[in-house]
Amino acid sequence: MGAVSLKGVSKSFGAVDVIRNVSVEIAEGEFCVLIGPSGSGKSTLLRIIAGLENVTDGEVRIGGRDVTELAAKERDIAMVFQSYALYPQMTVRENMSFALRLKHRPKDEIRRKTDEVAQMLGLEALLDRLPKELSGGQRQRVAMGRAIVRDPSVFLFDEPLSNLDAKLRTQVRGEIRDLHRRIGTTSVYVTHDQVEAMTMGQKIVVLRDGRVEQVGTPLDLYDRPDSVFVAGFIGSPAINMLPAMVGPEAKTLHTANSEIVLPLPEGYRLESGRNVLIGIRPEHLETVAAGASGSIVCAVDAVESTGSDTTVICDSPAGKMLVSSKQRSQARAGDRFALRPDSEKLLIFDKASESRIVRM
Amino acid sequence: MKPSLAVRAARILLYLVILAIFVGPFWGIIVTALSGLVIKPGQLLLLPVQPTLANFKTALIDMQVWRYLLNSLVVAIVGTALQVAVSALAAYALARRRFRGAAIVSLLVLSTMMLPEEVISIPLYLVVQARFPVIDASIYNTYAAMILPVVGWAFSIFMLTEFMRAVPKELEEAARIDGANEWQIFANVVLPLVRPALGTVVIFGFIMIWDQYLLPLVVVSDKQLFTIPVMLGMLRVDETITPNVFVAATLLAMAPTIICYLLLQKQFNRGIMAGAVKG
Repeated sequence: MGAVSLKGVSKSFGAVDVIRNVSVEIAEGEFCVLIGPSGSGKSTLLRIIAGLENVTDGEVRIGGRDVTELAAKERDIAMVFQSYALYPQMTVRENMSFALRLKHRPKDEIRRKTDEVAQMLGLEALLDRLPKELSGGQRQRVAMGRAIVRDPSVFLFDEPLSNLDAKLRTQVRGEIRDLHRRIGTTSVYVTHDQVEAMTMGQKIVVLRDGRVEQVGTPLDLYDRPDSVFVAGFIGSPAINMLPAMVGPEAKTLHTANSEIVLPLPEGYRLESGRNVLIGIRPEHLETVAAGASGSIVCAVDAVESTGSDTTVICDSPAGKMLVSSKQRSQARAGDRFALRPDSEKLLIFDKASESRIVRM
Repeated sequence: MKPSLAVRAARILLYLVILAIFVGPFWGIIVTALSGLVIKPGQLLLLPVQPTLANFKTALIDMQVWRYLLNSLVVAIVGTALQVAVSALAAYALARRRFRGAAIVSLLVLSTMMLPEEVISIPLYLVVQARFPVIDASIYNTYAAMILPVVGWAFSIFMLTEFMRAVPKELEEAARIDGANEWQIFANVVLPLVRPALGTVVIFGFIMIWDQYLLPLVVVSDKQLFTIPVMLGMLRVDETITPNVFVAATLLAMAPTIICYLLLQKQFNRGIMAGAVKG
């Protein structure tokens, strides 16, 4: 087992800075998710931990050992690739035992370990098949099996579920989580899917343009995002962001065209006239009678229902807004209604710096 | 619409003409080699006259064609093995490793394809007959003189390079993480994945070396070391042997390349196909 520590890690490809001064601590046995949009550097950071990319600057430690200059094979890590990267000419058994065979482990040990892991992952019946004879989900499991057999101190996952269909993705997500619970090996998991990040990670590192935007538990990031970016990236449907200005006497918030006036929650010390962004999660909006104070009048644009959840997309004076609810909606396009945000749950960001203004 | 009778007849006639052009000479050789009747220059038999295998026996034993076949086999088998090994290693470096000067190396390899054999034969002779310092010996008049110059062949290097480029990078990285060193990645991961191309390269390499005429002629003067193409050249002007014996020797010379092709045909076709559809 090993904790992973990145200190001031930077990586440039020529003149392009891909990773900029990233420092992250991942505790032993922790499941850490690296998330960010395309080009945020999350895969590069994982490859740096794996030893597949050299750092331009900074230090990488695994299990307290400085591995910055060590080759991938000396780092005692295992990686599951997005494309699975199974050796096409080898059977499942040969794929899983490749690393042990390279280490010249005794044959009976190799067989025993491979059988154990195959049983753990339900792969016993597939051991003599070639990767091309397996389904996507099975290949994924073999890729994990290959990693587990080696009993490494850290597992690295590079978007391992992105080639699976939605149903299988949910299933394998659960399997990876169970596996982590059973084996307890430190895991670093890269994804761009925030649902995966929220459901799997004990710790989430949000990356943007090669920098760490925020580190925290899934609910930390959801309830207390440090920036507009994190607030917008975490949560589905996405948070509503309304540009506003602090009203006279600093007791109200006025949207840009003053058509919406919301009471400023207690605990904020904001000077009148300051430009802010109001973040309202879609589930923190409730329907109220037209004309109620602090309400926003909207017209329904579209209704999206998944059966368990309903999202209403509506046009407000401040732009498009999303409202989500567990209840079924009878609303039709064009219907007008009023919404009131739960003022206790408003998130207020400084417009210029886009960072969240902390409530006292 | 079904083509008219005249069109179909014309088409069949065309096929027959094409068939005659390609198969005719080959058939003529087989028939002549199996005929006891000595043909005159310009004569072409359609069926064996006085069928016999005596021509083969005369060629193999009396004319000692077996010795030249053996020489050719040694040169072609050892040469092909070395050529494939060198090509695979060179291709691996060009396809999978980034190093300073890779483009220049590619260009130099390519440039060897642009020089006709006749142009390099004299410089090659000079190199081959040059004596090594200290041991004061040259490879002139040895098997090595016929083998070493064909070991590096641009065609097989480029063919394997293209195939190796198509092997996904992740496989190499997965192997690296699994603890494989450079040689193990080459031997256990990349090489097995380019097997169809290896089959193609073996066939082309074997035929290329087997068919060498100018090189053995230039670097070997000892008749005992002559390969079959060189020997055929000499037999052709030898007035003491009949044309029937000569074509029998020609058929014997063709046999190994045909056997080589038939043995590796499946891989050869896969290699050709994969090369054709690769983007």
